[in-house]
Amino acid sequence: MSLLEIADLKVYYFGREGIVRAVDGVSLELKPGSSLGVLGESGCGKSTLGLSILGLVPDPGKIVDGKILFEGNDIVGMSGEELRSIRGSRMSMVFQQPMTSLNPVLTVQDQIAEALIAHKDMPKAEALQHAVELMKTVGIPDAGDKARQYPHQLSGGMQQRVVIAMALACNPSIVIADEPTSALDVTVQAQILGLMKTMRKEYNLSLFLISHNLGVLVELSDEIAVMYAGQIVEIGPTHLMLKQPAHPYTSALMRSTITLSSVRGRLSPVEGMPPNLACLPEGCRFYPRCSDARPLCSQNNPALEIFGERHWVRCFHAH
Amino acid sequence: MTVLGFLRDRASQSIRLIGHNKVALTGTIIIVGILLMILLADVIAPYDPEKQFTRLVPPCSEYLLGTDRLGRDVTSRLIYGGRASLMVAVVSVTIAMAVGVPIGLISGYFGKTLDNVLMRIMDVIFSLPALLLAITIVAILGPGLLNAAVAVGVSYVPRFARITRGPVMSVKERPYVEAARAIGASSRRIVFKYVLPNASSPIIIQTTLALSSAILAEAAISYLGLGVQPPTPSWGSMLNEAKLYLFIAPWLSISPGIAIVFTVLGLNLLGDGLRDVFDPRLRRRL
Repeated sequence: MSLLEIADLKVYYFGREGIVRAVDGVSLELKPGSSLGVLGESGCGKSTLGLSILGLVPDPGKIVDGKILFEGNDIVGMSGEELRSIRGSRMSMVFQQPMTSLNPVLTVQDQIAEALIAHKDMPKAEALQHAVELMKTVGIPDAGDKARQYPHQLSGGMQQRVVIAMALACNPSIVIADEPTSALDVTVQAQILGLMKTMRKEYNLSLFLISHNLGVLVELSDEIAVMYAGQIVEIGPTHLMLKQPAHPYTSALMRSTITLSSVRGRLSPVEGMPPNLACLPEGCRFYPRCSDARPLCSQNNPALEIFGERHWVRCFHAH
Repeated sequence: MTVLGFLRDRASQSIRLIGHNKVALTGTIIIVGILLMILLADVIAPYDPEKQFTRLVPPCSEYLLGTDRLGRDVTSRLIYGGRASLMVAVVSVTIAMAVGVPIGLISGYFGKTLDNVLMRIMDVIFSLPALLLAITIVAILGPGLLNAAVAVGVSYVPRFARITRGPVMSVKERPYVEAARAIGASSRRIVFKYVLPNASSPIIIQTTLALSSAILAEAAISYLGLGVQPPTPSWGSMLNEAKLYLFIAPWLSISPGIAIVFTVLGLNLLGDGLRDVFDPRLRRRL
């Protein structure tokens, strides 16, 4: 059985400029212990997708249609109370900016203990003790001293470790990480990625990783889903995606990424801008930017079709 | 750790932190000095504040701050007068905070229709001049010190509601509030542990400002005969009586004036200092 199953999810924002289709018919599946990376440009709906799994779609957004089955239960119809009992205990989240996702007036120990107090009815003293243990687990040196410090007294990398400790506090089965390393230095990024890898094994976690950085996803995910304009355009096992990307957008993204192994001279960016999600083009959503566009592409939006083993592509002429 | 032990720890930590902050320390010393003076009035006041001697004697060794138009010792009246002034200030601001801060919190955090309704009610109260409103309330409740305090308190409610609502609206959008939701914290916990503490700086400042202006409001209400009833002294009423003798007996205005200025200064310093002390980002490392 899959741990998380998203079926035809539609999340729209009902703003003043009209309806923004941030997530428009996304279907995904995540097996226990496996990890999925969502790749996409800013504004393609990947963060909204992550937040809807937790039932935290911000105003004026709404889940319009679809299902999010988590351990067999549909998140979409759940009451606030039910959602709260799952959040932080069965599933948790690691945010992009460690500094701003920690409460500046609480010590880090207090914040890590928060989830334990909320879900496990642990007495405060015990929760604080456990928080120090967690800090040791995520590799914070002098955890005992650091525990009583405030977030601003820690470095960015240490802060992100605290955020990860918070996410792991109640032994969740899935962690959603939205750009977990984007705000960090490159060296610290590598450390945090390493930590997430270790934690994944140690806690038998499923990871739902969101990033615009291909390198981060390759490092951590078994499967990669590429999102464009609210839809998945390609999804498949990581090694396959790297070797033979089938969607023109995916191959364009690969060409715009720096790798150490390939000496190619100039990088080629993906020309143009992603479409406005409030007024999408007719036909294929990538058509205006596609180097391989044909007349058919401007009329119909292709469906996500099977391309290889566990490999799906949304393109009329995938190759 | 017991609740009492926890509170004791917090209290001793706060005292240590205030000791390290010069501004807060100065404010504390001034306020504690004034409080001691008021509490020990019976011991340190040289005369009965209502006993009459020679009229309008300038400051001398016998009457340190002189005597007023009815021959009462100004020093003694100043010491006793602080009781009425500070009582009104503290009671009224406590009422204003107790009502205004929750209204601002609810309004800012939940927003939408509730926010609209609450804020329009606040606007109605705000649109009336605070003093006029307070006088009307005292006129309804009847004159007296406690009624004056209640009246000033009610008229200050919108200030606290407004000053709380703004920062709450901005703080509730911060990522750490979303992070708190993502770990399953309840709304109550989020409001009291995440939103309110991060929105408290302007409330603390507003408190000290309101305390100072409440002292002055008490003066005006007492002047109109709706607050402290003569011959009981208060700084405000002393100042108002002294006004008529500004040229022939200036010492009558100077001493209560200085008392008010010092109290307000002490409160403002304390407020500034407290804000720094309770905000870990502004706190110096010990």
